[in-house]
Amino acid sequence: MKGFFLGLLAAAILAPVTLATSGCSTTRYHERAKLADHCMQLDADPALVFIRTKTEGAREAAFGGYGRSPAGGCGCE
Amino acid sequence: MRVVASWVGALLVVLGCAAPVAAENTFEVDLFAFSQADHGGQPLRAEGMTYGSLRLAADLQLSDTLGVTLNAAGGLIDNEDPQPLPATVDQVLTTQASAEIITLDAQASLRYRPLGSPWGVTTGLYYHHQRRYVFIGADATASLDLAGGDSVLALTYSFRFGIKKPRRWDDLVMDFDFLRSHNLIFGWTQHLSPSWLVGTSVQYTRQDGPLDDQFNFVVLYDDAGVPVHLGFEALPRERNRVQISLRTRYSPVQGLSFGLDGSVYRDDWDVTHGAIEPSLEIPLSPLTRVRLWYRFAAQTRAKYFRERPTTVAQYQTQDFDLDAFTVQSPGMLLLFPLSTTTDPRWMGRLSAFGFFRSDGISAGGANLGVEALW
Repeated sequence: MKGFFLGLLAAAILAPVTLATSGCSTTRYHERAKLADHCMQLDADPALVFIRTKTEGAREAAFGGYGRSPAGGCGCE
Repeated sequence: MRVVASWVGALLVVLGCAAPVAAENTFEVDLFAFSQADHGGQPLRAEGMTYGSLRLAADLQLSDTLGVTLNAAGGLIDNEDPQPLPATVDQVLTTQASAEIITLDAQASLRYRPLGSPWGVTTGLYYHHQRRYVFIGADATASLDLAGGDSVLALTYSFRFGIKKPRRWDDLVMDFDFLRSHNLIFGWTQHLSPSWLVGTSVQYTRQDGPLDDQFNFVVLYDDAGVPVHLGFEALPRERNRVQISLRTRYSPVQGLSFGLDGSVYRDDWDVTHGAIEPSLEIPLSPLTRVRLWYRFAAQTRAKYFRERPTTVAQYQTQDFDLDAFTVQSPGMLLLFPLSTTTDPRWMGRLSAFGFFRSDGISAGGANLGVEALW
C-alpha cells in the first residue's frame, strides 16, 4: 500500500513539473479574453464551493472528492 | 443548419462581450438552506436533517502587492428525531445526544505577490466550532507563474488541529481527544490554447486521532437477525489518502464554456472513490450567466464496514458514508446583475442542487446571495 501511494505521488508530481517547466507558452496576451472570462473559472462561485464542500464532501467517505482543498474531514470543512 | 449555427454563434458573442469582469474588492452575503432525507442506510440511525446558514465574505486588495480575504459563517443543523429502538435492544437510552447543533466557521487569509514577480504567497487561519468539537488550522500556498502565465504551479499545505469534546451518542461523557489533519496539494494549471485550459492536481491527506464519530454506533444482532445491543464504532487512529484530479474548460465563443472535472482517490481503509462532473456555462444576457452541472460518483466499501458487527472485532463501523454507493448530483447556478452602476456594482446569485445516493440518502440545497464589487 505504501509503495502504491509513493508511486502515485511521484508520477503525479513529476509529470506536470516536467511539462510545465519546459516552457509551455501557448497564448499571447491579446488572445486571453476567453480564458479570462467567468465561464472558464474552474470553480464557478465561492459560495457554491462552500455549500457543496460542506454538504456533499462530508458524505463521500467523510471527506473530499472534488479536487479542492478539504479541511481534513469530520464534516468540518 | 449552418445559418442557424452562425446566428447562434453571433448571438453568444454579442451576449458574452460584456462579460462579468474581475473586481479589486468584493463583499458577499449568502443564505444557504439544505435538507437531507434518509430512506435507507443504517435502519436504527436517523440521518435526516435540515441545515441553514448565513455567510459573510470580503476580499480586499490592500495595496498593489497585498490582499486579504475574510469569511465567517454561522449555521444551525436540526437533526431528524432518533429512530425508535426495538424492545429487543437491551440498553435503550438515546441514540442522538443533541437534536440541534450550531456551527460557526471563520477563515482569514493574506496574499502577497511582489510587483512583476512570478511568485505569490498566501497564508491563512481557520476556525470551526460546534458543540462536539472545535478545529483550528493554518494554510500556506506558494504559486509560480511560468511561460508568461500560461502555466501556473501551486503548492498548498494545510494543517488542522481538532479538539473533540467528550459527549458520546449515548450521552456519556468521555475524555478530551485531539485530531490532526495534514493536506499537501500540488496543482498545475495550463492554457492549452486561447480557448482551452486544464488543471490537474495531486493531493496527499493524512489524519491522526479519533477518526470514529462519537455519534456513530453499530448494531449487534442475535443468530435470528434480531438487534439486541448497540456497540461502539471503532476505527483506526490514522488514515492516509492520495487523490488525483483533472479539470478542463473549453470555450468556443466568449461567455460559453464546456467543462469536465474528474477525480479519483484511494485510502488505506480500502476506499476507492471516483467522480466525474460535466458542466456547461451559458451567457443569457451581457451580465447574466447560468452554469449547469451533473456529478456522478462511486465509491467502494471501507474494509472496516460490517453488516454484522461482533463483540470481538478490533475495528468496525456501520457508517454508510464508508459503505459502497453511487451518487448522482445535478445542479445549477444563476449569476445576474442587480444594478447597472459601478463602484459598487451589485450582482446576485441563485444556486440549487440535489444529490441522490444509491443507499437511500437524498438531499437538496439552495443558495441565495448578493455581491458588491468595486
